[in-house]
Amino acid sequence: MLRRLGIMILMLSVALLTSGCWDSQELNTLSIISATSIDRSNGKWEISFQVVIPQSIATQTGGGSAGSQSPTTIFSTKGRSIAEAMQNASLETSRKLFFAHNSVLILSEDVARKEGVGEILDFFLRPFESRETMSVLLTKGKASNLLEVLIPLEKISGNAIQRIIDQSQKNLSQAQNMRLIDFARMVASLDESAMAPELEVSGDLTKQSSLDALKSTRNDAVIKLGELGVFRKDKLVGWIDQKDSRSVAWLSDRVSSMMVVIPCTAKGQENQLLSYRVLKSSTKLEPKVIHGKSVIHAKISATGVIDESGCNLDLKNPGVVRDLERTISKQIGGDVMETWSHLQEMNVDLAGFMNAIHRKDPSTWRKLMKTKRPIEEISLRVQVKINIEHTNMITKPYSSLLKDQKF
Amino acid sequence: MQKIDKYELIAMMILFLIGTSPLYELGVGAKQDAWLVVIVAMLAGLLLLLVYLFIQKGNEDRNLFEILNQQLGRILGTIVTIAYIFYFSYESMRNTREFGDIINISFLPKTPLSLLMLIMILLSAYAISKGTEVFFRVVEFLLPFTILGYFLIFLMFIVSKNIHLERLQPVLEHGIMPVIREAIPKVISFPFGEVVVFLAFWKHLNNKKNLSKLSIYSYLFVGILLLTFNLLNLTILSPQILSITTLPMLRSVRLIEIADFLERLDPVIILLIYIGIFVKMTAFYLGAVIGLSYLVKMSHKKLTVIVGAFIYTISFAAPNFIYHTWIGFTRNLMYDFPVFQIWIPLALAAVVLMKKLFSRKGKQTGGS
Repeated sequence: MLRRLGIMILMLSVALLTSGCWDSQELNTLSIISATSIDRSNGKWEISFQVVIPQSIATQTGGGSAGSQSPTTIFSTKGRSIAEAMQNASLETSRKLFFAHNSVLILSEDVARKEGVGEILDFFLRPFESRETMSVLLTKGKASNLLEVLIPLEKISGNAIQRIIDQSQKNLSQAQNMRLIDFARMVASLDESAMAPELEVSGDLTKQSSLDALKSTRNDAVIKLGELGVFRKDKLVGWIDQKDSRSVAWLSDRVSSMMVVIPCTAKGQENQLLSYRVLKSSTKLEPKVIHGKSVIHAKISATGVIDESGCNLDLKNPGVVRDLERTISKQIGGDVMETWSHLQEMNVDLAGFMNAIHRKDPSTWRKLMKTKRPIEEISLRVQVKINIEHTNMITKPYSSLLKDQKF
Repeated sequence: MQKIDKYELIAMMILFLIGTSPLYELGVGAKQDAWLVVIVAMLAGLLLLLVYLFIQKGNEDRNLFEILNQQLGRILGTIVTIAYIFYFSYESMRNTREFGDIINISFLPKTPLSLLMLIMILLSAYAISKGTEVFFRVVEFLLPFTILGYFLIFLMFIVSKNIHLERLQPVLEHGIMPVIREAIPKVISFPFGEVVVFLAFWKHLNNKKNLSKLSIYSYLFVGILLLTFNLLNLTILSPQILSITTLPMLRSVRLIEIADFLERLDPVIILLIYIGIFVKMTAFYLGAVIGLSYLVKMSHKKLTVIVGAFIYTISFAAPNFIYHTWIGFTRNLMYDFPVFQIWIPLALAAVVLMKKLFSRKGKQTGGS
């Protein structure tokens, strides 16, 4: 009897002790953060959170719309360290901030230029809750402004921003989705300069942050990706424009789909353009030493299709297509070389050339690292091979129908 | 006499050696050559395993403690036996404390460490109180799930396109020496040399003919598995990030994102790691119990409680996890563990060899 009682007590106490009551977190005591931004003001960190309001994003069945309440709300707090700023959020929120669903981290240019991102990365890599897959973004103005913009079609703008980057990476290959972990790796790397896409608001911000904005069909302001922020070590040193970003994508083998627009070469057709869409591409970097100088041999090859033709060219003729391929190659090659000279001026290595040299030829790499501006010691040779696989559903340009009309 | 069959032994060796090892990046001091460190340590550890097997072969029906007392004599044997009991308890405690702290870092930050560790010790004590045979059978049952789990994670790493093989280059940037210095004795001591505890179990194998073959195959299997996960961590996280990461595997697994729904798999890896930890800490615990039972005549259950209480007590020895890992990786692996994993077994093997030679000589002279 006593033995049985003992077992009962033991079982009860185990059941009580192993239920994990210490760390229980009820859903209605959490405020789920979908995006975070970091600014700097008066020597303090200012951190803003976009918090999802669950009631307003819940899909309601049986009539009635959830549209009367904004889907997200924003808290801004300040502190001497980022962690302190975050703690201070408890002074004004009714719920515990929950970081695990944070998908976007937006840094203002000011922070990235003056403070560097070292401390920020430490803060976001340290806690278990924070995800290393969140996207890192930069903005030229105040970062918290971006959290305020409501994005049509989407309820939670934090997630929407991440989807915008994903989309543009897939379809444009201009801005790359920079995951926190990749960003951290690139910042710490000896051989690579980090970069992060810029996000900007164009239009009237104040109007688009009110829920009334979603009632009209044309938006007062949109969030869009802009230039590419370039880092040296952990500090932002400059921006490169969209054309250069595309060349960087070519060099670093990140092109998944891209539109290349070239002018038609035939006489009298200077203003007419032809659009070539890349479907598949690969870039190989081969470091070599020629006459004691480091040379990177970049071999770019791409396969794609013609998406639009304003020129009157006989696209059925393989010879003509071969000429086109050559023109496209020349254009891409030229763009890439131009970008490379910009990068050399900025002394940054966005394409990972030093990495390529380090991996293939460590002794040359060591020699280069001893020089003051190693990037300038490297010269680039580009070789582009373009293949036009087909011309989609029509062969000759439509305009040919208008010109060669015969009776 | 408790009996274990060959599948149980294989399962035990595999899960024991897996332990917590996939969670850490072995040989990270050699940067991108960490995987070479694993290969070197694995081969060196294989030599150790052969030494252990040689000792066992020379003393078929005895366990480590019986061999020690028989070969080294009563006094020296007892001293070394006591040392081994402490060593096994200490190893068991290291695993207990480690997992307690991992859970604190990851899932249950506010749950008291003492409780987490108590639950683990109780579980192990329960397994041991049922006897060696039962424990081995439990491990056999756990093996398929664990292997499947690791295999699925491996597949998901490949599918999620997180692997960048080029991060392994340049190979041997600073020559072979940093690799060897990392491997010996650090990575030998953890995890490969820990196999020494099997000297306490091997005598229970019902068919000893296959002992060497089974042990070596299981050992090599785990070696390859550890090598794979070492490579995965390296290629996914890059050596720099790895060098500051507390629990590399946990971080790599969190990077898996497949089709927007298969993500945040860290609970899976924690589960797998727990299976490994359970097997390892219980095996060491059992080793200590077997050792103590050789010295003290007491019932198995009482001994289990005594050793368990001892392990639980010393698991509070380190004031914090930082100290615990520091002493583990910079002291124990370098200076303390090699004594039990390398030096004593080597000495023992030498004694066994000498006696064999002498007795053969004696026989020969006697015969002629």
